Amino acid sequence: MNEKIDIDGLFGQIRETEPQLDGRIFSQSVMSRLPESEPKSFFSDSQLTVLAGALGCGLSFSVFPMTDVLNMMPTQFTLTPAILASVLGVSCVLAALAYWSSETDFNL
Amino acid sequence: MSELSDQMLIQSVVASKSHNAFASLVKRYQSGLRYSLRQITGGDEMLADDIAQETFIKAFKSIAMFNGQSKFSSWLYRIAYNLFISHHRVARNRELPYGDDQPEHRVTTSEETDLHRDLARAMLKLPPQQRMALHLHLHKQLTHQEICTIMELPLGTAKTAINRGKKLLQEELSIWKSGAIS
Repeated sequence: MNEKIDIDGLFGQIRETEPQLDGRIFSQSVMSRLPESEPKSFFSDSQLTVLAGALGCGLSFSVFPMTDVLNMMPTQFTLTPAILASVLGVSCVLAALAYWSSETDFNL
Repeated sequence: MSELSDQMLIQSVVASKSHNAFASLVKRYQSGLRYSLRQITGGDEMLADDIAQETFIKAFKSIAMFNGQSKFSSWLYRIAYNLFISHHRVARNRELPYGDDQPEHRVTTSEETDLHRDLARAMLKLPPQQRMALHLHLHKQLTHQEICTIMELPLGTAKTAINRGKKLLQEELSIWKSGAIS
């Protein structure tokens, strides 16, 4: 008469001896076959930017003390080299920040 | 540094198709999945790794469809099972020497006492559905409900597949124990 094997026990033994497979080559192979991430849609990006801009302008306009600012506006300007240099300096810093943020990948 | 949870990694992959985040998921699950596939393909390492690769690539492409109601590992096993079944059908139609068509070619006489190979040979004689259900239940220790989710089967069918598979496996291994394996 055949002796029956304890199937549950047999699987238990195999489970306990299950090796941890080295996945370096396997992972590299998988990653090399993944499709590149799709470029962002220019249209939807532009739509979002315009929408956010319009929203921001609307909000600012509702709380902005326009008449006070207009009254404070000088009627004459004197453009000195110091003022010009300050304006240029601030512009350069802002441009550098904008360039850096557009070139940096903030993803994981 | 603490590891990111599956959910955070998945969100990152969905949001920006981040390869780095997906690489972490591959690293986390590759060993278990590849070993399971080796078990259900009768120890065919190349075939198992091919199916595992396809599984991860398919998972990457359709990760936005993962709804988080089941574990990520269960979702991976579901993809792997479908790919395994597809491969089995193709192999059968082409009459390739795969699975239960010609199991003997993988087993050498000098290794007949090896426990893994004995089980692999017996498993190959089972229909694919029973093979997978048995593996998930006895090796991965998943519940019947999880098995139903992975294999998209009614509860009764999954239980029957496990019981029948177990019985057939017992018969196969009992014969070997009293005969070829001494």
